[in-house]
Amino acid sequence: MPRIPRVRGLQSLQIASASSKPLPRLPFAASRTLSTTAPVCDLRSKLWKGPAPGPEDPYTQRPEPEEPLSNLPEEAISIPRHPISVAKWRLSLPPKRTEATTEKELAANDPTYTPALTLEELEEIPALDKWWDQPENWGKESEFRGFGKAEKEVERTIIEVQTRRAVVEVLSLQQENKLAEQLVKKWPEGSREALEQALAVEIVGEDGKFSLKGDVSSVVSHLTQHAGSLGEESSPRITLEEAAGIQEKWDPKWKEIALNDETKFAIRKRIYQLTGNMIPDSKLGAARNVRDVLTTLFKQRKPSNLAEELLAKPEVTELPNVRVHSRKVGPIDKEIEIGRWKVIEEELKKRGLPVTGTDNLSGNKEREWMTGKA
Amino acid sequence: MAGRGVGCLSEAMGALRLSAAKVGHTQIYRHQSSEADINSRKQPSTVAKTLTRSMATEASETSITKTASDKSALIQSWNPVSTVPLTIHNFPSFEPTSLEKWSVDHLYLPLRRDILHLAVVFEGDNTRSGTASSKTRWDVHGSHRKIRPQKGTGRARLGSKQNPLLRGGGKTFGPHPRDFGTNLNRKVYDKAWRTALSYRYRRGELIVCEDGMELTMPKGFEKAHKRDLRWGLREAYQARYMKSVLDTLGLGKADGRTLFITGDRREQLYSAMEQVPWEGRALDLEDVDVKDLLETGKVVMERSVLKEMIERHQSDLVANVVVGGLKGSGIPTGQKVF
Repeated sequence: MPRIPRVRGLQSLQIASASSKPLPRLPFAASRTLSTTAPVCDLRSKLWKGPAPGPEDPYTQRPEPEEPLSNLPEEAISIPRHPISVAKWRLSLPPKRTEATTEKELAANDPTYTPALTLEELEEIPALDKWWDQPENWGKESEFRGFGKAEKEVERTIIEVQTRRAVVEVLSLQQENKLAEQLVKKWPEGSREALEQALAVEIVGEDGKFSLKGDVSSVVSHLTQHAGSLGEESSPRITLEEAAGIQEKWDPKWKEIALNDETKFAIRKRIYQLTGNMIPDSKLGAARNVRDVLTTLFKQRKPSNLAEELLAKPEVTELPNVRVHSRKVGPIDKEIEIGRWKVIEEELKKRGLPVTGTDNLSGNKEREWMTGKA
Repeated sequence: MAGRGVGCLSEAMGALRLSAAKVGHTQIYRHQSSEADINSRKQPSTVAKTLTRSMATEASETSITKTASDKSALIQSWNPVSTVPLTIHNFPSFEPTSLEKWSVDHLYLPLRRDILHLAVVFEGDNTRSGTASSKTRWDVHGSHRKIRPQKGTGRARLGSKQNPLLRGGGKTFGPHPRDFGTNLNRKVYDKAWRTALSYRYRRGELIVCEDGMELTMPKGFEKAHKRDLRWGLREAYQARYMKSVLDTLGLGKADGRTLFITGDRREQLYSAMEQVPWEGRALDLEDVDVKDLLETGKVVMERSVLKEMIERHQSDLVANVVVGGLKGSGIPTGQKVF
């Protein structure tokens, strides 16, 4: 039973048949020119009941190449073998192994065929163990999706806005007495509308007593309604400017909201889902309020090199006799600084000497002798 | 590794400072209560401050950025007395599913590098096969005939050709099979296990998952026929998929590799991890020791594995005394909150 993974697979099958312009394989007799005494048309009309397929005289004329070039039956190409639901998860597998057309056959079929004479002219087909590295073979069906957001959020403002959303959602569930049952369930990531609704809810209160002001029930309904169909929508993105604008309106006291085990668990779960930042248990245990949760979430970006780290320190940069360079200061840098490098470069060029390096000549042999290398 | 070493050191220093402050506090408190001085309320903190040592290597307060100091201050301010929270996750999505409370004696022991060192050395000693074996002159094959006359040849006196000085002769003080194993007190070793787990927990590198941890492969892979995934296609697919899983979850090579511990061999997870040994490893409970727990960047284990580990390694917590025909079972491992 021939297997037809995909149309894509069929394309690669053609590639595998080692010809830049693939041709249908002909029967052996077709490539021979036969001299027959009997008129060919009569013979054909006797052989076929209806009008005979192919050219008038198949022994002397070449058949015109048919369009979907494949050695598979036509109906197999035109009708997709699998319904869309199957095609969604089906892997794209390599085509079956086929025998390449020989050079003789190719030459007989295609008058324009010329064999490759250099390596570059040959078509390159990667090995099977590289099959999945080709982007057309690794699609959505093979992608892994975890619970947390795949790209970790690093911007503080956005993290804070998402934390606010998580806190509002958790508190609204608590207010409606639905937190305990929703705790172990997966909440939908929600549309843009859900995000805006959650952020529109105000947190008011003082001295540890906080309450929500706004459309709490709709926030709760957003969290509970889609609980069945999960993972379809992706969370809406907020830009940095938007987040900063939203953040300005808040009363900073909201960070004083005290948290218990349940709310901490729910907030941690939601933050991980929305921002991809997972707070370790030991740090979450130490957190008592939202401010502490935010403190554990904010990460400082590590300086990528020493210079960056030093430049960030005012006690180093402010010193009058200290300069921080981004890389090692070499002899050329020193010449550039005093303005002599241009002259040196010009003079070297005038004499036809290499500006840098030794230009195919061996290096300083004497230095090697002295350092004991040679 | 160097980074972690420094991290450990600073953590240990932090703990030292904290305990020093505490000791100072309690001592003075006792002293003053004996004096029954009413004004003792204000005093302890000031005197305790004078007791804390200033380290020469310690960074000054100003050089530490605000967030970092906030974070470390927050963690140091937390001294759980009886239990610590532990979240149980789903695998491989890492969705938090339930919360448990574990005893501080199981998962929040202070870092003791000395105990960890003893345990790792003990394990290393006992893992040595000690099978190196060389032949002495008495083991080397051949005749013990005198190879030349004692006198008259003008050359050195020689006995048999197995002489260690001759080529093909025996080895004088060569290695012989022996046991390199050392001993470590059971209670010390058990404490090392829990110290290693606590260290991982404290740093947020211990991720506990629900029982039956197994990698779910994409439907297309599961449904594909065996003959379609020949010629290394299956292995290549597993490698690519496992890498994407690890990268998404922050467990891959860039995050210092990961150790997966399960109760027994889980075919999909183990075979996928075998394709990408540079990204981490998967071991069953019987194959894990303290060194394995400390090696990789993160440790992911089943809940039952953690429970079993703690139960096997709590000899210092469980009294070996039988009362009424029953031995004490020790502190309960993991109480479910919800």
